[in-house]
Amino acid sequence: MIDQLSAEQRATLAALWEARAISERGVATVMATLVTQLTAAAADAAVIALAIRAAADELAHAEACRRLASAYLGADVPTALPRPVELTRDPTLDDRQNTTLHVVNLCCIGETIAAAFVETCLQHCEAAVIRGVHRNHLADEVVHARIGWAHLASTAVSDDDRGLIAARLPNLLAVQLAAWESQIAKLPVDGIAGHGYPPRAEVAATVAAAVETLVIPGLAYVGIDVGPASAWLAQRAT
Amino acid sequence: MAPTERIPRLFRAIVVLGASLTTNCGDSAPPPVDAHVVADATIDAPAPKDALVDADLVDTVIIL
Ligand SMILES: [Fe+2]
Ligand SMILES: [Fe+2]
Repeated sequence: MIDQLSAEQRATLAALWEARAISERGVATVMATLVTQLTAAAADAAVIALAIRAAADELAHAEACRRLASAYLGADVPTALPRPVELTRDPTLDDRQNTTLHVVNLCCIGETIAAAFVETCLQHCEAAVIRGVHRNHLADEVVHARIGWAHLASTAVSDDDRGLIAARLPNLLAVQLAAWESQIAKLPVDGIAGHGYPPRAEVAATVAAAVETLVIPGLAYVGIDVGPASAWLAQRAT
Repeated sequence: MAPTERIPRLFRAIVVLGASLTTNCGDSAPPPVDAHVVADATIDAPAPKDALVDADLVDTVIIL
């Protein structure tokens, strides 16, 4: 399968997977930070346990991505170094409130969109090994997204916290969607058939559908007022 | 399948089962967190968890 690719396609795929390995390594650091924050915020034990697992999963993802990059390159790609990550902090809020917003941002929005993204990539995989990597990632992303939904459904989140989330959602969505858009812009326009890269337009449609049909209804499902977020989305679409 | 057609399955796997980990609201099913069950809920067959740590992964990809 790899030998049917042009040298240029191999180089492109190697670069994409190497970048993904570096990004996964960064997410591992973020998840490890989140474990400390959730513990300090007296989050439900089930939520903390999932976050601990997620930190380890992201390290495994980084290694799986590095191996795929090496396979496409035909040479060993070095292991990505751990990256220092600082989560943005709103000084007008206390630590617990900042943690709540981080969980919404990283898990309810980021990992939920990521699960939909990986599922779409999975539709574009031919070889069993590449499918296997995507399927593992998908199963893990589903669990990582659950951290957020489990936390918001727990008694660790108060009614005041819910109001705060509702008010901050447009801002969080704006930042996340901008980040996804800049990542999508780096993908090959037509994708790479059979190798887990759909055409750019399909990725963009998947991200939009994930926000409209997973993130927003999900937040409503756990009792967040999605009025401000829906209004922001509607205005953005015009 | 269009992205939107795949979503209800994901909604249940992510949001409904996720929320059920800390509440009893909305869903009577036990919350599966095992990777195989997750895979069943989201894709057609169990995910081979070992593939991630398979030392032969690189070679296998090369010879595909
Ligand atoms: Fe990951
Ligand atoms: Fe993840």
